[in-house]
Amino acid sequence: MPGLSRSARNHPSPSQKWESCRSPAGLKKLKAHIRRLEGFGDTLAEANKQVLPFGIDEIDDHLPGGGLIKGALHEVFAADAGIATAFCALLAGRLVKDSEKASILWCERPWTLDAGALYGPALLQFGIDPMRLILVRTRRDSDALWAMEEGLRCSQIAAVVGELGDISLTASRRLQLAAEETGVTAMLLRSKENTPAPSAAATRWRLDAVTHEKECRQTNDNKDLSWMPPTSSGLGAARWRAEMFRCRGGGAFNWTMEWNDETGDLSVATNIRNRSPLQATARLVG
Amino acid sequence: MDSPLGIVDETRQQLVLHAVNHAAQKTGIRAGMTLADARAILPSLKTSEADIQAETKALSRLADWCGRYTPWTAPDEEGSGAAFAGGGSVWLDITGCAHLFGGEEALMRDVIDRLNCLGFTSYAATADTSGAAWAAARYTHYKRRRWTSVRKGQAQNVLAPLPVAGLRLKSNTVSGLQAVGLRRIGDLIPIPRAALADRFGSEVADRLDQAFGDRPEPISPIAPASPWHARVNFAEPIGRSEDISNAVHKLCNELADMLENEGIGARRLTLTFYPPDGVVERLQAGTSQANRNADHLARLFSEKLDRITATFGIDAITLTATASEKLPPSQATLDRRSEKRETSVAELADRLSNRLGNKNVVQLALHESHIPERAISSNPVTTCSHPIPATPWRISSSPENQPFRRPRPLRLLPHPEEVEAVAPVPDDPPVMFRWRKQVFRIEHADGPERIAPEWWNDRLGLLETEPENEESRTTPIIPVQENIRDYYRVEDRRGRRFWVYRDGVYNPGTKPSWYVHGVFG
Repeated sequence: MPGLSRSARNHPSPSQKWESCRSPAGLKKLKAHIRRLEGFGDTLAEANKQVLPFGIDEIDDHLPGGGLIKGALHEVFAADAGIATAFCALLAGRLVKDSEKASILWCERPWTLDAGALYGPALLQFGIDPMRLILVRTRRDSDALWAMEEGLRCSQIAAVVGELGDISLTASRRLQLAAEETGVTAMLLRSKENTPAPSAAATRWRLDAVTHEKECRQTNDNKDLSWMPPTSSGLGAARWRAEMFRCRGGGAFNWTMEWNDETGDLSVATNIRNRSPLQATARLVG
Repeated sequence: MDSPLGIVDETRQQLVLHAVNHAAQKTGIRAGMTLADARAILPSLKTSEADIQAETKALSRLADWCGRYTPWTAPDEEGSGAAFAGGGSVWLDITGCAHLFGGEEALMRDVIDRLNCLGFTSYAATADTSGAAWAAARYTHYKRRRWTSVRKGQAQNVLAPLPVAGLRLKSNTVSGLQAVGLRRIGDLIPIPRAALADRFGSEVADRLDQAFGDRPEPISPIAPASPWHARVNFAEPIGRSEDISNAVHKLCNELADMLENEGIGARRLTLTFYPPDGVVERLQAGTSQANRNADHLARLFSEKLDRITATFGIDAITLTATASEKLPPSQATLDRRSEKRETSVAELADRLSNRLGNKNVVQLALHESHIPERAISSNPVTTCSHPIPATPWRISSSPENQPFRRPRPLRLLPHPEEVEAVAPVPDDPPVMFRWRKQVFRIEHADGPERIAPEWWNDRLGLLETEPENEESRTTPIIPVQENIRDYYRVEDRRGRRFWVYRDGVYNPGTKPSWYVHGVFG
C-alpha cells in the first residue's frame, strides 16, 4: 500500500493533470513541460539555444525565442526552386554574418530541384562570399547526408545546406542531433515533389512565388482587355510566399515577404494588392 | 619433381631459351642456348613463350613489394633478362634499415623466405657497391646458403674467384674474355684498364670500376624516397579491420611526431599495405593545408580502409608523406580541457574530398569573363590555398566595385534551354514562353542586357572569321557563344522569375530563338 501511494504521488492521474491546467500558471507549467520534452528546456536560454532573428517583428513574434533557432534542423520545401534557394541562401548569409564562424557547406545536387547549379555572382546579393562557400556534389543521398553531418560536426561552419530528395525520420533526427551538439544550423532544401513526411526538423517551410492578384480575377487571359504587354521598366522587389507549416514550440504561420535584391533587405509585404509595375519602379528608384 | 622447363624467346629469327628452371639446368641446359641445342640435349624439354613485358611488370611489382624493407627500391632493368641467364634482380638500398629486421643477414634471410613463399627462388647479397652485390648474389653460393654478405673492403677478395659474367657483361663480351683465357674476375684485376678498353671497349673497365666502387653507379628508385616514412611490421599477418585501423593510427602518431620535430606538415600521404601474397595495396590521401594532426590523418584513411582486400592478411604497413610543406610549431594549450581540438574548415574539406573525390568538393572562383557560364569555375578545395586569400568577390556598396552590376540568377542552368517564345519584334522581352511543357505568361520584364561573345576567343557574332580561329580556343569544353545575347529578367504571372535571352540580333525573316538560362530568387 505505501508503494502504491508513492507512485501515485510521482505520476499524477490524468484528471489531476487537467486540474492543474485550468489556471494560467498551470498552463504555463505544462507548456514548459512540453518544451522540455522537445529538448528546449524551460526557456531557450536555459537550453543554451541561440536564435537568428529575421529583424522583422511580424515574423519574429511567431517564432519561439524571437527568431530561427540556431543549432537545429530547418526544412525548406521548394514550391519554386529559385525562391527556396534564395531563402536558404539568405538565412545562410545571415548566419555567417551573425557568428564569427567563417564558412558555409552546401551539398549541391542540381537534379533535386532541377533548376541548375548555384551561381556564384548571385550569392553576393545574399551576403555570401563564394570563397567562404564549400560546395559538395554527391550522387547518392547517403553521401550527402554523411557530408552534411561532417559539416555539422565542424564548429567553424556557420550553416550547412543540403539539397535532398527523400530523407527518413531517422536521418533527419541524426542531423538534428548533430546540429544540436555543435550549434551549427542545418537546412534541408527539398523539392516540392517530396511530400512532407514526418521529420525531426525544428521548423518546416514551404517557399513559393506570389501569384499576381490580377490573374486570380481573370479566368481567360486572352479575352481580358486590361492585359498589357510586359513592361521593361524593372521588376522591383521579389515577393515570396513563405509558409511555415510546422514549428517546434510554436504555431504554423505564413507571410508574404518582399526581398529587394538591390539592397538585400527582407520585409513583410503589407498591401500588395494590384501592385502595378509603375509603383514597383518607383520603389526601386526611391 | 619439377619437369625441365624453358622459356623461349624469338631473337634474330632464332628460338632462344630466355630462362630455364632448376630441373632443366641439372641436365645441362642453360639460358641463352638455342632451342634446337636444348632439344638435342633433352628432347622432352617443355617450353613456354616468353612475355617480356609481363616479366618487366612483375619485376617492378616485386620491387614495389620490397618497399616493406626500405623506401628505396628499384627493379634492375639493365641487369635482368636473357643476357643475364634469365634472372631478374631488384635493388634495395638498406642503409639505416637493416637494424629494423635484426641486421643485414636477418634481413636477407627474411627476403629469401618470403620470396620463397611467393614461389620465387631467390639469392641475396649485400655489398658496398651495387656491382659487387650483383656479382655476389648471382655467383656465390656457399653450400645451401642463398645469401652472401660482402664485408666492407672485402669486395676484391670475394669477387676474385667469381666468373667474369658476374660483372654484368654482355654475353659476347663474356665469351670474348673467356676466349683469351680471362675466366675469373680476379684475372682482370691486374690487367691495365687501358688494355682492356682497347680490346673490349669501355664496358669491362667500367663494370670493374663500378664493382669496386671506383666509379659511381647511380640508380633511381621507383618512387622518390621520402624522408618522412613510418613503418610497422607484424610477427603474424593481421586481418581484422580494428587491428589494421589501430596500426594505421599508430603510424599516423609516429609520422606526426616526426613531422612536428621538423616543423613541417603533410600535404600528400601514401599508406602502403604489404600482404604476404605479394600484391601491394596503396591508399592515398591529400590535405588542403599542411597538417600533422595524427587524429586527422588517421581519419582521412579510416574511410578508405575497407577498400583493402587483404585476403591473406597484412604483415607490414608503411606510411609516407610524399609531399610536405613547412608548418611552424603550434603552441600547445595549457588548459587541458580545451585540448580537444576543433576541426578546422580545411580538415573538413580534406575529409570530404578524400571520401567524395577531389572534384566533388569545390569552391567557386571568379573568372574575368562577362559570359555568364564562363564567369565562374569550380576548383577543388584541396588545390586552393588556405587560408582564404584576399577575395576577388568583393561585397561592396558602390556599384562600380561590384563584379556584376546587373542582377544575376541564383541558379544557372548547365546549358541554356531553348523555349518557344512569343515576343514582339525587334527587341522586346517575350510575352509568353513555353518551357518544360509549361506556359509562362510574362507580367514584368527588365532588360535587355546585351552580352556579346568574346571576340578574342570566339568567332565574332556579327562578322564571319576564318575557320582557323577555332583552333585557338582556349576552353573547348564550354560551347562557344556564337551570337550576341539579349538577356531579360522576366517575372511571370505566378511571380516566378527567370533569366531568358534571345540568341542573336533581330533579323527580319528569321524566327528569333529564345532560351531560359536561369532562375532568380
